Amino acid sequence: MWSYEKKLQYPVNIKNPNPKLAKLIITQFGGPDGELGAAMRYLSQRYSMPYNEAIGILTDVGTEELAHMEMICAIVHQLTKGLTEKEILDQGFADYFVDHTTGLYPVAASGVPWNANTFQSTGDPIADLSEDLAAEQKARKTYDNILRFTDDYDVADPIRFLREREIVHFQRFGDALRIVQDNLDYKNFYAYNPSFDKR
Amino acid sequence: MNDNRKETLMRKIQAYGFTAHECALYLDCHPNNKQALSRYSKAITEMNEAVAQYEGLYGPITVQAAGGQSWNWVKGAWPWQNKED
Repeated sequence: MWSYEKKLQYPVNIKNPNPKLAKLIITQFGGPDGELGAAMRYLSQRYSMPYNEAIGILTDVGTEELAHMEMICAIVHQLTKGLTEKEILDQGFADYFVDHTTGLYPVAASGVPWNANTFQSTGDPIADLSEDLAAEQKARKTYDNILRFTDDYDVADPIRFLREREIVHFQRFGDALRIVQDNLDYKNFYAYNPSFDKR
Repeated sequence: MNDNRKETLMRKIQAYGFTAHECALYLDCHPNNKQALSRYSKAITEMNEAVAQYEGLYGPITVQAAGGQSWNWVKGAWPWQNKED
């Protein structure tokens, strides 16, 4: 089970609202490579993972992704504070605002709501961990793209932290994939599914 | 390793933890209720004692309690695995 810690993993203190930027950053909440999907992916994949080290990584990274989701929500929340109706219209925030006001709803930057079709849980450790490696690179790419449009240090600083985490997670999933592959024996030359096909 | 004592201790942790959680839910909306406040603190004390006992014998429940000569967080069964796993 889980328990909540009343703190952010890394501080978020934004002074200047920027709803245009908030609409880009919210994609890391509800977009195809966002933190909500990441948490659901890793926490779903744990049950069919055959080795304790890989289960540990999926559990602990999946938990960290929930903390990252909270950081993204804090950034979006602070970027959309104290807006006037004119600012909402002028900065292109009215289409989100009309449905959600300044509440947090998981959507991609394009406005498409979060969808479980953005990830897989295959029951095959090699397929799952290979997806996880790609997922971390795709999230890193989104943070790189967000940083192209961010000139506010208060926003860029936590976004850079989150970008770094994607790189560390990529390393750790590489370790986990190596552990799974090291456990395949000579009879498993073609890498059958060690969670299902017992030989 | 799957002795009766381990299961009994875990049942205690679950019961005290659930009591504390129920009190917390109530206290969130009734923060001045003295009875709930003392019930919460009693349950937390009981839970912490049981957790300390359990972790000393069988390993960490939270990652904050993990450590050892070799990282004991990834040792032993995970909570969704039944005894046959």
